[in-house]
Amino acid sequence: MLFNTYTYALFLPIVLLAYLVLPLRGRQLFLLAASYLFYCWETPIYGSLLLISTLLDFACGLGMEKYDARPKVRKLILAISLTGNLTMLSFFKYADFFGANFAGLGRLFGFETTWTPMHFLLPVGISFYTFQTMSYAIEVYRRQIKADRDFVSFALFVSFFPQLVAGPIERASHLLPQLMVRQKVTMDDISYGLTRILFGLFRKLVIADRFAIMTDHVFAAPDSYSTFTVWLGVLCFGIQIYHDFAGYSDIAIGSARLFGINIMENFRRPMLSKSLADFWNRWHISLTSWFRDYLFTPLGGFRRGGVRAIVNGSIVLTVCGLWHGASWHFVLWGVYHAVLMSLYYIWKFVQKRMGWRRKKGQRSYGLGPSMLFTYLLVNLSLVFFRSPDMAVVGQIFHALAGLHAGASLAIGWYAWVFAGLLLLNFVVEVLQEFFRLNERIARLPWGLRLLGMSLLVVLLAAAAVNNDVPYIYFQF
Amino acid sequence: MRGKTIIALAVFAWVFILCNALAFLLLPDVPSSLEEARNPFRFRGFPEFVRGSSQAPSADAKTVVLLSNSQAYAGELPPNYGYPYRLRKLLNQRAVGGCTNWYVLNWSSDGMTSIEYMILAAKLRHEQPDLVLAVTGYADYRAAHYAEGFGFCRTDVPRLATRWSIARELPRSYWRRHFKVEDTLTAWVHDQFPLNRFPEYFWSWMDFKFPGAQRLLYSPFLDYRPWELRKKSIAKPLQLKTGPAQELVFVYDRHSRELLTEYLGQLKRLSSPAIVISQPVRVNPDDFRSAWHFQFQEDIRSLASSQGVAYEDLSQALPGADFITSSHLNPDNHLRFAERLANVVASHLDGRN
Repeated sequence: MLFNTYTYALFLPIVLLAYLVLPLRGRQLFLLAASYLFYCWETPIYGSLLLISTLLDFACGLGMEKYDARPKVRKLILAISLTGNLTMLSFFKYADFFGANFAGLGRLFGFETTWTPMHFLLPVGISFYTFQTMSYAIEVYRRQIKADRDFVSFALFVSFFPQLVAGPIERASHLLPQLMVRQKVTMDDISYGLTRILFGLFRKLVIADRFAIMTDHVFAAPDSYSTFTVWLGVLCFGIQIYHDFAGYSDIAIGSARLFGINIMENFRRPMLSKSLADFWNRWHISLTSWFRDYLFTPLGGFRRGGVRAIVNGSIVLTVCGLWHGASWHFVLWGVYHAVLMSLYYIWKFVQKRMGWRRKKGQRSYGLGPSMLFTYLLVNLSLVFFRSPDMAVVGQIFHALAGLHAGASLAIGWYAWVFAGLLLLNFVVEVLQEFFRLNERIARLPWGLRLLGMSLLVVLLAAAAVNNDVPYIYFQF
Repeated sequence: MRGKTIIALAVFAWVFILCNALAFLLLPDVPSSLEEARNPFRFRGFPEFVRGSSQAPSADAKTVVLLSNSQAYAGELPPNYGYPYRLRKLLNQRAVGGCTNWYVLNWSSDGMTSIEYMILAAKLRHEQPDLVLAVTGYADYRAAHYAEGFGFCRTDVPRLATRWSIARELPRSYWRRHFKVEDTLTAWVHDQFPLNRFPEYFWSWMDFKFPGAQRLLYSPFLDYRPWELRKKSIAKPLQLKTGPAQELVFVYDRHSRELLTEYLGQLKRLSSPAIVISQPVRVNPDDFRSAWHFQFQEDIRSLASSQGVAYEDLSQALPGADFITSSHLNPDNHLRFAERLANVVASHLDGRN
């Protein structure tokens, strides 16, 4: 079930009403059933994978606790959990990618290797919930949390519908305790939840899907547009993917809040990042923090010197690219970030060594340029993300450099409309970041806010784009 | 807190109702099939496609309701060149059935499917036209729409199916096949709230003022203009399977036969007389699609006979040279086809008399 459907608009209030009147156990069971209904709505068979992942990690959690005094057994159980989840993920997501590449590699060395593509339909949200269950197993192993002995609450933690399909990827230590008590739902929760949902829908249906039209035009025939239009198309994709995913996260956070449950924020105005390191602290926060805690830190993090930290970071960012999709352009997206992050840390090291760092209290004039520079670097990286294959990546960079014949197609002065919308988006972000726009709005008289929300509903109905654009992160 | 909640709901309801009322007032009124030879808004707003009951002509008038597809809509020609308009003229000129005040209500549109035919036939259960002509071809029963919901349809017709009076006239097999929660809810919401229909008209008006606005800022696949009425008639490009030469491929298979059976059964249930007619086509025996056409001919003949529905095969009634495409006619063929249909109507009425 998708958030931007009438089905969800019907589903959510029904589930909420029942939730409000039920006792704790009833709530848990009902939410669990509702979450499976939500997940299985289009393709019921996917529910079995969700259940397998849940059973595996529930059992592994209990096993690790049972053999608390036997480290080797605990390690083995953790390995079973990780292997199980990663095998499931690899089988459905990466089998064809790795199969085809290994076969190609074999042919390169003269072997008669072939690979028949299996073309599995990727189960929705598998990358998200497998990571969530793995985080549970790792935290139990590290003794950061106790294993959950209640299967219903654990199954609900894995399948809680607002964040099941595209995150935020929650941690057991944060979400599980909230699911184990009867949450008191206040009017503030309802008001906040509805507001976030409305804003999320607005970001998806009015902003992201509108920019998607421009992006689709440009990426469909990059050779045919002027350099300016291709640049615009690339920048429009940055806005599209940001509002598409952040809008989804808003709806997820808002929906959870209606049930009195807080789930983590996933974005913090990433387009205003001061550096790439800052960008990764603001973009898809739940995933980047997952990689930080469960991959970067165990690899040694910053603890083993600068070179090792750069290698660790590069591994993490490349894997992060692969997490997004079984394709070389996603891997290259990760590698691009890995290279730039490495350069960034080398630059930081040089700054430190040469004593070029700004002293405390010294005024900085570089904020604007560094934000703009980071913005451009991030948007250029998204060319890898958006392009269907490497050939299009080449065409886009060719066009961005003005090395193509170009301009057989034109969108006229609409290019300036999109440029204006880009600027408007940037201005709003700046107002939110530096002038606390959201807090100011929150301080307005509630009647005024209410009128604003009502008008937002009307605007949603009247200005939403008529183009069925699926959520970008659903494919992961 | 309770007081605030009530005020909040009241404000929200007031704004929402006000905006819907404004949208209702702003949306242009579309003439019905009594006044126009075809829906001037192409897919949108045709009263016959969105209202439960149709406007009745005067007491001395006789009506033929025509259920058909793009051949009868004839979007590539001015409305008065299409066979429905010419049929009406011919029936009046010849005073068929002793009447000189005939109406041919053209309930056809581009890309009609059996999903829509079934709903229109269900609507006809509540009306009493003098004759129903169902002019149809194999492409109206394509396998691709066998298990699709209302979202597959391009016209407003599915909105009618969300009304109880029409929904109950549709067989269970139809609902089992085509009921999709999201599609049905969407159709219902669009039927209830004019605000939802507002963007399409607003952006087409914007497009009228600023050409290109609709496709670049609202809907990249929408290139017809409801706002512009008669001036333009460009169809929404079909997102369908195409063959080696980019021709549209409408697969006709056993599922299609099931859809056809259901439609004929629905026509049989009408209280008004109905005639099913195989639409004229230009068949190229070397074309891989011709097999589907011949299979359809065989099916419709046998099914009409077994179900007791009047049937006329006019599939080869027109010269191939006067077709624009394999099923679209040029003005000469529209005139010829109108004459053939006038004969069918006359002979049917004589037969009854």
